[in-house]
Amino acid sequence: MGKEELSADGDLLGLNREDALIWLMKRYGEEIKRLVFTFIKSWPQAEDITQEVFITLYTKLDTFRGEAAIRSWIYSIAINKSKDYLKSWSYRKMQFKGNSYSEKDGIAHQVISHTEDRILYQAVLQLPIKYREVILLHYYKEFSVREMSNFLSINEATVKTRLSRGRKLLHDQYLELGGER
Amino acid sequence: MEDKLKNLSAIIDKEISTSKVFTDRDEQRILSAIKQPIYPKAQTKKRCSFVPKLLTAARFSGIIFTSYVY
Repeated sequence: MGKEELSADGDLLGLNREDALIWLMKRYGEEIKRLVFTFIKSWPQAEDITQEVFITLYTKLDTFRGEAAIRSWIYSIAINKSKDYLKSWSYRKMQFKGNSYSEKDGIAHQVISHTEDRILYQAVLQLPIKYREVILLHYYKEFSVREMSNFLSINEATVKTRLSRGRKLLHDQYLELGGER
Repeated sequence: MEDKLKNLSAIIDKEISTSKVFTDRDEQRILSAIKQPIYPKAQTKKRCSFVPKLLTAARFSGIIFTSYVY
């Protein structure tokens, strides 16, 4: 799949490293930054992590041989970087001080825009990370259970269980925030 | 819920931002970051050459003195 994807999108392996990076940014920059934001929930941090993702891609381009789908490869780097940040001391400190985008901002926003879509979006962002990631990857980024299992390094049964539990939690959260049945 | 989740992609994209979030500024930041050296050149610590020299001199003086006395 990797090779077909590459030839369809352009021959990445034939480009020099800087041109390959520019190609990757043009092709995946927007979706990666949006994905990172759904994990981090803060634009300044999402900007920094997106930058780190592309720098990592640049440094690891030599190791990419096209055997894995390039999209999965980029996503796995972005997800790992986002989760590392969520585990970091600086994030925990910020959470403690209440400086990040949080439920507070979400609720304030919700009062302004109380639509069903907004409520669903808030409900997704409030899911615990292990459920949020599978819900986002499956329904937002349309990855299959097998693909998620590969780049999250968890078995398919666990992915399915998390998806099922995630849907249930999302439903409860959605109703709690005032969503319609 | 399953029906709502089918539209999740469009909903999240709309709620995050209707305009581009990854801009030329982001691209330029990344390109300038890769052009910078990762670490500043490590400065070699200047070794203090006086102490070893003094110790060597003291040792040789000691040897000479002991061989002269005994």
